Amino acid sequence: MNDVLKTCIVDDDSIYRFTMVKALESTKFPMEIMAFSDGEEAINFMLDNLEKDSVFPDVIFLDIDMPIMDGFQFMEEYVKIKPRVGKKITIYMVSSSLDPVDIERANKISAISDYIVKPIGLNRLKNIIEELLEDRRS
Amino acid sequence: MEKHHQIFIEQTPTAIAMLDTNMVYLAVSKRWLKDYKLTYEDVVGHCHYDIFPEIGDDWKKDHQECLKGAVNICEEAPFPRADGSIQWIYWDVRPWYNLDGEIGGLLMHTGDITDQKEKELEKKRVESILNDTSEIARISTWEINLSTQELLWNKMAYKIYEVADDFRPTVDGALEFFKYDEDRQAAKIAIQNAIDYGSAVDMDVEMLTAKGNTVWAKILGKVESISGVPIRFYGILQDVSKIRLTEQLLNKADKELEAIFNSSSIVVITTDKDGIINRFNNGAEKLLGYTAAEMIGLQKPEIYLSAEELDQFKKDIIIEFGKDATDINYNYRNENINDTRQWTYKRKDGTTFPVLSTITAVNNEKGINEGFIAVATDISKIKKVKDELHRKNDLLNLAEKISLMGHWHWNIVEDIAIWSENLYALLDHVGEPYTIDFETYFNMVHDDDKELVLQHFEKAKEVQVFGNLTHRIITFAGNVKTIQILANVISNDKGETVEMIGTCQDVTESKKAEQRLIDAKEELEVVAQKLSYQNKQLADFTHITSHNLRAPVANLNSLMEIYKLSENDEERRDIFGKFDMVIDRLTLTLNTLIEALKTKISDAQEELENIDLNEILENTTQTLSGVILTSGAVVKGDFTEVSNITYNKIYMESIFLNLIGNAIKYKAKDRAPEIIVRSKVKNGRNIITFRDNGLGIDLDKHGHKLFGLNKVFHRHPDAKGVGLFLTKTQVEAMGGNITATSEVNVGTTFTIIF
Repeated sequence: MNDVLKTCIVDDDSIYRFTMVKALESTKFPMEIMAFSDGEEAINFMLDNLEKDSVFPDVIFLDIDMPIMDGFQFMEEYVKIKPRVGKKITIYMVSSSLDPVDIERANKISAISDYIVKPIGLNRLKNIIEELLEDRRS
Repeated sequence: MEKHHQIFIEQTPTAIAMLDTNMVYLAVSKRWLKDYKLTYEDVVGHCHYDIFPEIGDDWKKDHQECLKGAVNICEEAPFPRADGSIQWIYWDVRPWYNLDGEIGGLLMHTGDITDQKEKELEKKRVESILNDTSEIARISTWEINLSTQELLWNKMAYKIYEVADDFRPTVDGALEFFKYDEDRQAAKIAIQNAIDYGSAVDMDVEMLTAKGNTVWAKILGKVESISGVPIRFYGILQDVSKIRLTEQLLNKADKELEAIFNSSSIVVITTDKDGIINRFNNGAEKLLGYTAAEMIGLQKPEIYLSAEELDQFKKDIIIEFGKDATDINYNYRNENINDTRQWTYKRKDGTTFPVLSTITAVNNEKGINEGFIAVATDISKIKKVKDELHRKNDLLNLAEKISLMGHWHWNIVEDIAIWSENLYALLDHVGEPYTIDFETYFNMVHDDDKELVLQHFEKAKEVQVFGNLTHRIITFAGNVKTIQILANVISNDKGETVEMIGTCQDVTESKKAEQRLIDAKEELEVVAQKLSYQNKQLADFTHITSHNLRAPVANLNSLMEIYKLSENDEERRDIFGKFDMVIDRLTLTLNTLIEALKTKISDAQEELENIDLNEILENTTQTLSGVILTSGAVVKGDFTEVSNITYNKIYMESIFLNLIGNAIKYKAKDRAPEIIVRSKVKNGRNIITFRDNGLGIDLDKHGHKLFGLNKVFHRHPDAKGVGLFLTKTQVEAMGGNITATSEVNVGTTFTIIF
């Protein structure tokens, strides 16, 4: 186990991806960042690397609204392969939607840790990363 | 010799005449002249036939026979005389011979036996009448020879006793027919008394005939004595059963009349010639409250009659008999009155009650009134029931009127229907109601409902249950009404349907109201649908603002945060570039939303034009000529079925541009786009389909957000998720809808129903 936190961003919005990367980098925590522009790209990466789940992210910031495969569709696919994944992955659903339908739906999926409304905010992001790192050390 | 004869003949005390061969009188006896009311001069020297011209040819022929030697003797014969009378005569006609032994003429000897003959006939007549009388009166005769105790009966006796003709009656045997022994003993004593004292008998007995019938008989008898010795006991026995029966009936009738008179429920009052009450029965006492003693000989019926009714009665009688009321000598009382009507009687205590009274005048043989008989019954109860019935009928009528209802009664066997007044009124009938048959009713049934009505009645007859039937009918006045019929089916003891009794209600108004309710409900449903649609649109809009406006704002916030953290100019320039992108994006989204809002808010229906689809397609291909050229796309239009649609032109152009533009944008990589636009009519609505051979979309996955704002399904650089959103907004604003079918890598078809 190394101390590097593998962080994954799945979002079709390039500006968002840019701000997330910049924000994460500003925390100076040891982490490795990967980004996908939709759910399909992300799930394909996981399927390709099922044998070596060490490359799997520790945490995923998953957008809901995406072309090709949206956040919920990604979760459906992920739940299918989850039993074959040895690694614990924390997933945050991130969306600009305040729609209670979306929030409710996300809360119903047990594999999702929390629902975060965009923008995340630097402080909140820091706290999340710190917590995750704490967990790993304990 | 002849002369000698002549003298002899003339002196003969009987009627004798001597005639020559020419039937001329030579001599007649005085008796002859007397018998035939003639004189000597009338006769002698005259021909017999001149004197008696009434003598017929048959007699003349007899005379000729005698002139040849025959003798003609007749003991009695009627001699119809010329004056019309009948003379009964006997005669002896024979020839006389002269000295030479030749026939010299005829000797006629006659006798007038008219008197004897008439007496004989009279006796016969009397006997015949007696016989008839005894036959009719059923009187038999009997006779007992007292010395031999022999009993003789006439024919009638056999009939009364109902015994055979060969029955031999005896005195003891005859008594056996008596029904009661005491009668028998009395009869025996009577016979003994007749023998001993010659006394007569008169008794009534009841007998049993040989055939067992009861006969009441009256027996009368007396004794005939010769030299004081009774030798014959004879008399009659009359069957008086009929008389007794009549008597009994009369008795009974009398008792019945008595009973009626004494009845306490019937009023019988009679008056005398002065109008004073002379009979006042129990019933009258009981119903009127007066005693007979108070009334008889003292009061007139006026005391309990109403003056107006009495007056009306008198007037009616005068009219009935067609008399002149102003005639002072006229008295209605003398008319042959027999009048039955309702009267109001007043009791002693002043209360009144209705009666039905028959008043009969008792007039003497000269036609002068000797009083009246009034027979009356209290009809207050009947009247009450009648009034109640009347009232209920009125109520029914009223109820029928209020509820627009009538009733009917149909005799199926004779096909006679009776309708209530209200039913006629309901069907706009003016004038007298008449009896109708099924055909009359059926002809009035609305043509479109005839089959229904016929089937309903057939079924009702068969299953003997009449379900609720509602149908239209053309009334007598030609109005169309909707009626509802309910009925009971009545069957006879063989289970055959024979009658139907039912009601008929005019439900036209309620039917109309029902229709209005249905219409209102439908309208409400439309409104509700519209509202729910608008609600959904509102939700969509919330969703859009939430997703599409928050996202760029969130990005702006994030960029601002990073901007503050940025350490050098290069980084800051980079971040500024991102700001630009976000703001551009936000501007586009806002513009689209404004466009969509305009579509929703403005009334697109007001800007309708007749649009030529070929023209629209041409404009679209011109606008897209650049991409069509670079992609090598083929766009075909087939508007043969529908070439023109009335629509908002801007929307139509926008729809064509978006859908055809999309089809080219999302073309398959390995083939040139081919787009076919076709118009159709389906279920009365115009339809346009846009079919392409492009990438296709997995609708299972993306169908729910196909027409959403900023939804993209392809990693296409130009995908903005605006076109289909706007298209759908426009189509729906015009009351239509848009759907899609697609297969990945085969193509997509959009269908718009206008």
